[in-house]
Amino acid sequence: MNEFIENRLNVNRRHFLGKAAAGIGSLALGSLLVPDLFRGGDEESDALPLGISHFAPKAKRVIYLFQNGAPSQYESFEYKPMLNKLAGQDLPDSIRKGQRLTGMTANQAKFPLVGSHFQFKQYGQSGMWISELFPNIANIVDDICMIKTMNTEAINHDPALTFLQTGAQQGNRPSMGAWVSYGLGSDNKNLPAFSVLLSRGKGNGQGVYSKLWTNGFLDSTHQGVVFSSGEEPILYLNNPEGTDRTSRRKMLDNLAELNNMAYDDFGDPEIKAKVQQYEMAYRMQTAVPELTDLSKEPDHIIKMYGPECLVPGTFAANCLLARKLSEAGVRFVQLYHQGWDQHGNMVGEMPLQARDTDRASAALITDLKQRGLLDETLVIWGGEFGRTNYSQGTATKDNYGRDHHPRAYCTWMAGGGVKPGTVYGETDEFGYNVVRDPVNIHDFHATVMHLMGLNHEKLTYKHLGRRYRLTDVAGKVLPGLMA
Amino acid sequence: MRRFQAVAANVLLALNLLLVFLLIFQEKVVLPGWLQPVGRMHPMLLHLPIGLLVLVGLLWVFRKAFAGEGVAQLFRFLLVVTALSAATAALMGFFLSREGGYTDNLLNWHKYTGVGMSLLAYALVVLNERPERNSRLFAPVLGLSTLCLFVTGHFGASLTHGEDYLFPNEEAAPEMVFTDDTPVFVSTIEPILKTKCYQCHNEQKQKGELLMTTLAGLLKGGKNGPIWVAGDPLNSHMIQRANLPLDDKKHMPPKGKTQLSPEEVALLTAWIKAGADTKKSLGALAQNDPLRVLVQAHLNAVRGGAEAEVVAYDFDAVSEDALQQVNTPFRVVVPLAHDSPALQASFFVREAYKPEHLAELSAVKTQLVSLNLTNMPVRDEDLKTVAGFENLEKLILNNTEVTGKTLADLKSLPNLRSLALSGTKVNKDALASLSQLASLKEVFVWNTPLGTAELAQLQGQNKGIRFVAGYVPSDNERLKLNPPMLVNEQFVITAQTPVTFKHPLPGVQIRYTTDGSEPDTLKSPVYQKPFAVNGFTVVKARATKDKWYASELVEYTFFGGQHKPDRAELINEPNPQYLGEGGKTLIDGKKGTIENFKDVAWLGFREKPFEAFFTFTRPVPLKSVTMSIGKNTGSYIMPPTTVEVWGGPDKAHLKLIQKIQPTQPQKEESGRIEGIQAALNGENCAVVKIVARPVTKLPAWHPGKGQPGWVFVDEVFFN
Repeated sequence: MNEFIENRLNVNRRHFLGKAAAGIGSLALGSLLVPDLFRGGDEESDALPLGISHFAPKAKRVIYLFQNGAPSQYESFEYKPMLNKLAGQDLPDSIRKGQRLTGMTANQAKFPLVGSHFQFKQYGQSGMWISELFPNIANIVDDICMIKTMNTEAINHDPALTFLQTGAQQGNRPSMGAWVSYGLGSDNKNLPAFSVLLSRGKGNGQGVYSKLWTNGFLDSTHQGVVFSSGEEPILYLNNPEGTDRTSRRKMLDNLAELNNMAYDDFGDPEIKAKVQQYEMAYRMQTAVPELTDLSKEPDHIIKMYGPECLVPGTFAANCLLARKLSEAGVRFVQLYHQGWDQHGNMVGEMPLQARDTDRASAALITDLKQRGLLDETLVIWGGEFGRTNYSQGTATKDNYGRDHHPRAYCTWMAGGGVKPGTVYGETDEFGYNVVRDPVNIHDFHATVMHLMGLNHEKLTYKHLGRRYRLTDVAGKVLPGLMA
Repeated sequence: MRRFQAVAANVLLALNLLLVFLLIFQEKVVLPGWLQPVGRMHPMLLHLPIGLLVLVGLLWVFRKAFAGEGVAQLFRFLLVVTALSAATAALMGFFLSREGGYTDNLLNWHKYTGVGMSLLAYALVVLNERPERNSRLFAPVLGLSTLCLFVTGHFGASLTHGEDYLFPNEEAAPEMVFTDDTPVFVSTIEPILKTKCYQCHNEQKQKGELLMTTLAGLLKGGKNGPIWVAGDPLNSHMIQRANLPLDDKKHMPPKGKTQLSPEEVALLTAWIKAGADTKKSLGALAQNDPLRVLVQAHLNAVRGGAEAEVVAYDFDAVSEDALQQVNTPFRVVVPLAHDSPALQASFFVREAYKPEHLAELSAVKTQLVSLNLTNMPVRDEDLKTVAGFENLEKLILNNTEVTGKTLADLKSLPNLRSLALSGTKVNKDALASLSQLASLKEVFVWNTPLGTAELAQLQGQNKGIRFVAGYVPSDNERLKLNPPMLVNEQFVITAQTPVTFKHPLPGVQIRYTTDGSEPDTLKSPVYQKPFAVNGFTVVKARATKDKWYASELVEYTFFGGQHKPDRAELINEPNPQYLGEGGKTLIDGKKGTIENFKDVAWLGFREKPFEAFFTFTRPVPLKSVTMSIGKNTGSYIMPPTTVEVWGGPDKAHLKLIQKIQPTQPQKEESGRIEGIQAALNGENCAVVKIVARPVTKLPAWHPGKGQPGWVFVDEVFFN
């Protein structure tokens, strides 16, 4: 039998008979038990349509400024003067409570507490405490919600990153951006719904891998598209030399005609997908140059984001590009800024990392706000875990390092339905344990999804015999984070 | 069987007499405490007579279908069991009623009908003893019993579940809308009490003599007095009870009932602490008052729970087809949410935009609530089209070509709440016309010709509108420039690859030095065009510009060698992890990077010193030898302690021609590549041997003090 014809029928005799028998039987039984079975319900409660919010969203788009390597909370947003007072003393067992440690400090004989080398002050109407290393974020505290109690299960970079990005530590699940793309689809059909931008700071760094922006078991169209840090953000988009736009159009039209003939013969849906991808690439040829074009920006945008925004591949340039992508309807823009892993030389590296990110992060918030877009864009800033309140190695008078700490760390969010000017959660005086309002990774995911108008329990995908979701079997929406 | 019937008849008589007695003298009866559990079994047992009586009724109706002596026997037996269980249930109910806490009226009715039920069942037993004589009486009594059963059951259910359980009064609970002026008591406290306390403390059932459904009842309290002491939550019964362990008999709500959540207890505590004021509104509380924070969190939680927080629109959704019609790759129109009739539209790609595309949206003009035209070449006259989108709430016109002349047209939009005009040419006069827009709340005017003074004036005239000016640059704010960028990162210099700098910001000067000194922002040479360097050179550069702080210093080390050896042989093997590509690694012109010492461009030595022969085809006069080394204190990679250069005509006749001791770092430094140069006196050499010794003991300041350090070499150059 011609297998193409069979493919077209997409069902064989055995299938048909098997399904029909069971089908008719269960229909009969069903109509006995549920008289209204054939009346046609108004909606099926479990099967919500894809490509649209389940309910009115607060945020239409996300920009995630991921600070890769785990920025120290004690030198940034977590003011713990007690650590300065008790500097040099051992971390009490009553506080550590058996917390497992990384191989890097597990063999340390002492865990000498160490306070921030940098000064803290209160800012804004909300009176949030911010370190002197982040003067620009200090200026926007009334627009942000500072979570003090993020906590994770992992203690090393890779599992923690993977957990935060995909909801599981092992790395075979779709990333947050892929889920959002799957749930809401793309707004701008001329750009990828999930875009990834990479930058590297001057501090000790940790790598990022494509598994962090993977589509996992979802359709490959939901995979994050990495923008190149060079002059051309998307490679191979330009027409080859000697080909102009008209002849490219003609070529695509003829190609589509051939492809459609092939589709009529074989009925393979991948052919249609291919035609659509050619068309999208063609449209991207005009959409992408508009993205990189700074001529619509006033000169002072450079001062706003800092002069580095003109250097492709820097965090500042990525923030500016993220704003432009988001403004152009890209659902999920994921930035990674590397270099936050200060096991040693905190005093030397932390100011460099802060300088790379502080101005541009704040500028992004201000920029979205002044365009009337902040209320529909959710911005997230944070790393994969926090750092210890004791020094890795000996703390000298003017330098120290901090190891990984999963139990409590800071992350801030702004815009898109987030409660502005608030501090959420509280840690003990050592900053080590959560005292009030913990935010675990699943809750964080559930809340972000909720802000996007998605019910995290209803956005599922059936794979290997069971339904998966970003929050898997956990997660609750935290109303305290929302305006 | 006969004996059972006889005993049962006597027990039935006794039980029913006891019931009647108790009913008559109920005021005088005092029950011993041990009977309480028996009383509490009432809800368990009462379903038995219900089921049995129904069965009796059914059997009687279908009696013709069954024949034989056995059936009559069974029927008789069933009747006796029914009557016994009815009497027992009634008796238990009587015990339970003595516990109190129920509304007298309902309870009395339940009691009377319950006892009546028992008596009727007994009557059925008696009547059935002489079926032939009483057949005419039996049916009405059976009917009456069934009726009585339903009535009793209904009263009982009303007692436990509340009177409106069966037919809930929907209209009684209108959707409440809370504002800042709503008293906290009404918006928050009362609803908590309603869901968690009313069930046992209502008009029908006042456990502990406490009525909570009315304000008067709440203030009066229960049999232990008032339930709260204003301002003192710790001495308030309500809080004390809520905080008792769940297993404690006095814990409220009782074990098994829906419990107060910790947030709710915190709320009640905070409210009592704040004076238990039933009038005070949310707005009257200070912004950071703990009660206010809690109440807001609670209200948000309640609202968040009801996910369908969709603004109700009274227009109909457009058809799927109509929606398809208006969607193109450059114009995306989607509903706000899957159950919402409202639509949002966005335009993408400036090049693809035509005014007709906007006009085509008129097909969905009723449904459109949000329109984003960012970056599109929208002109003033196009706003006429927009003015027809009657339900528009949000309009984004950033970076469009509108000048504001026609903004007044938008007054036909009664719901327009947010208008973004950033990056357009709107001026003060144009914006003044916005005062005609009734619902307008915010206008974004960043990057417009509007001055600060004009803005203040506009803001003064339109108190209801928030004008957002965004970032305004100030000359006082000086920023540090980013450093100059090296275009060709080729550190082995040849004539074809001169040093080329660039800076993305227009008007920036780059000043540089090649002699190792710090570039001076005024005196050092200004970079004009690419320049060549000779051999080992450290280029330092800085960017400067008026009204900006000079950039950080950048430093690039360039290498170059006039004389290229034919061969390089390693005398000592490197550490097995960093073998590179053997001797030729040193003369292949491939530089390593500081990010990856595992790269084959590097050779790493720790246990043994670096030692290598370099052979030239014919003897060359050497002025200098330069080793390119890696340095990274954090990874224990240090400069060598000593470098020896041996030279001679062949391997057997070498002599030491130079020995240097490179400077060692004194503190932690970030990683970099450095050149170590040994100056020579023009000795003619065909073979050169270089020995570089790693640090044997890291210094005291280093975290790994006392341990051996590493030496990393990627290239060696001869001049």
